[in-house]
Amino acid sequence: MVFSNTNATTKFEFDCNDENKNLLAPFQQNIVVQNLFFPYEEYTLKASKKELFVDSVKEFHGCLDGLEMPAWGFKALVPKEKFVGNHPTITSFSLGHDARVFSKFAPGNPQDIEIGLTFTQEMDCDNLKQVITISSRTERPEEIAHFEDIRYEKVQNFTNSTTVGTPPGAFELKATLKNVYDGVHMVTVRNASAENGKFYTAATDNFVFRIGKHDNPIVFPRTANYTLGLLHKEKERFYVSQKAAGADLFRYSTNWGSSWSPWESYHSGNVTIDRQSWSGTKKQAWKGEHIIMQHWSEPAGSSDHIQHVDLGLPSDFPVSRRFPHLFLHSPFNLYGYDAGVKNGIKLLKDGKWKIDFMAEWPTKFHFNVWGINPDGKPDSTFVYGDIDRDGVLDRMPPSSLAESVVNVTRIILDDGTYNYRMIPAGSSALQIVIFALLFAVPVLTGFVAVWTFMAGFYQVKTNTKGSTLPIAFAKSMFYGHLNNSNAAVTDKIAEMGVDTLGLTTAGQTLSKRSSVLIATLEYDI
Amino acid sequence: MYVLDNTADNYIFGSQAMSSALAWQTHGCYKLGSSQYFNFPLDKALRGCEDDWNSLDHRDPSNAIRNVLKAIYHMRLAFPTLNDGFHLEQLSNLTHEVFLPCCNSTPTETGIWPVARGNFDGVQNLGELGGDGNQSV
Repeated sequence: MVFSNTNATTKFEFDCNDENKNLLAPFQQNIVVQNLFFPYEEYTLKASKKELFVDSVKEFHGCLDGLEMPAWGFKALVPKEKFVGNHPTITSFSLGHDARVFSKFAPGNPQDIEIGLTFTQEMDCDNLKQVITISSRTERPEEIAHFEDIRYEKVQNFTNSTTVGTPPGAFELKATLKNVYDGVHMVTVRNASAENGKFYTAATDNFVFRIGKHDNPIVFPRTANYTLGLLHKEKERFYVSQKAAGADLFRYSTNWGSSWSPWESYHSGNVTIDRQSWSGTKKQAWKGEHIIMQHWSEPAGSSDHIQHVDLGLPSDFPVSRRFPHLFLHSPFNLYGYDAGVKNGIKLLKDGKWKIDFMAEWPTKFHFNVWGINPDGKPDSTFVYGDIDRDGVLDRMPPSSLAESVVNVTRIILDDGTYNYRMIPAGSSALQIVIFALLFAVPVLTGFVAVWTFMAGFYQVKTNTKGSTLPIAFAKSMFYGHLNNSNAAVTDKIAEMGVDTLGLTTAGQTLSKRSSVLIATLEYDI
Repeated sequence: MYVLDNTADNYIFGSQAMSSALAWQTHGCYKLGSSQYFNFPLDKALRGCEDDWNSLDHRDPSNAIRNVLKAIYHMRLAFPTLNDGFHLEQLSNLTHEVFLPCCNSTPTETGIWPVARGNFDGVQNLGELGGDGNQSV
């Protein structure tokens, strides 16, 4: 056996004469070896220098001087005469395994489907016709699909698989399936024989395909996830007209998955719905009727087929809803305990959920479907967060809070895909202006304040003419005039040394001797 | 199947339902990257949510890996030494060590090497059935 772990197809070269560079075989020289894996290629071994004793006769170990290996390739080489062939296997089913086919005909009408199966070897045609069968899950169990016009052809153009060791398809069966109704169909090939009669597929191979309308939750579980017109009301009783051809069992919930009905066997037509009990606060109640249908299909092996239905909603209500309501729980509202903070998320007309959310960055939050329970504690049954940061909500227990960092203000949630997005709110230009203003205004106002203060109080004034206050100035002007007009009189009086007029004292003093007032004003700022 | 499930970038794993299920496609676009492996080839795992195949049934009998395993089971049936042979011998070793930027001074061994599987003489006799001979597959 030979292994290689290079990451691309590599052509190895060896030297059979060099002990450190040869690729030894456990067989003697000149033997032809063949690969047990596809492409079943042959190599002739050359002689190496290493001895090998076969029945006490000295021989040399076989050796290869070159070998091409695919990326991460492996080969199992045996002497050619020991080579055994391989079982035939099916390499492709032309619709594709679990293919979803859109039913083009009116409901309740059968259609024809072309299928093809490719085998690795030529098969026994008569045997194939017997071992290939079809079984169906439809709403018409009495109608049985059958094969018609079975044709065989050899595949002309081989396409090699990229997987190491897988044989390509060489022989193709084509057939037309007649009378195929909507539902799940399984094509089974039981131990088909190869043409040579020597090998069989040695397996029961089941290929599934599903046919239905767009509102069939078994065939198109993603698009048929929500539908209108499924639910009817007649005299206080509810009926659901089933759309899930291909289902075996179904159950329903009238309280958003809080409890479920027992599983019942599926049949087409109307099903009566018994309302399940529900209790909660006024804030937890919802408008209209909402029913969740779940289906299980045995050939599909899956119960991941959910269909939401609404009835009795006002006409202005959104196109779809899959939650009764949603609440944002986050540190900003103490995970719901702070009831004063608005945390209800609005369902928009287009079926998306929106909340304008503002909190200190970075922050985290999760969506809680039921919010605060009647006991005053947050509900823990349907809590959605995002653990793996892929922008898709993960349902998780509240004990494993994952940090979902939000740095914008608006959250949009699509309840069909669980995809949430942050929508930036506001204008970037406005934010730049605000940022620039916040940067510039404090500095500028600081300068203005300092300048005002300095201009108002910090000036050192040299008083050259006594007081410069307007009244004192007027006084000095007045006395100056008085002094001039009465100059002779005052001079005389002064000479006499008698100060007859007290009023003139200042004028006299000023003219005689200038007095300087030095003052410092201090403010306790 | 290639969708990754892990929630931390230093512990990568994936597990996926064999039967049809929507969840692995819904959560199929991996965003965390790898903090451990150099040049971890995530390519497909980053876009798993765009591939509708992820929500289909995976028990496909025409799958290439199934066909290889089927061939290997057939070889074990045809060659008792592949089923029960205790003897495993490395014949030569044509590998060399490369140092990848991930791993400081830990080398990664790459190349080609042949081994021989066979009867462990003295302990086994695969020519016989049962006992210390050939066991059923």
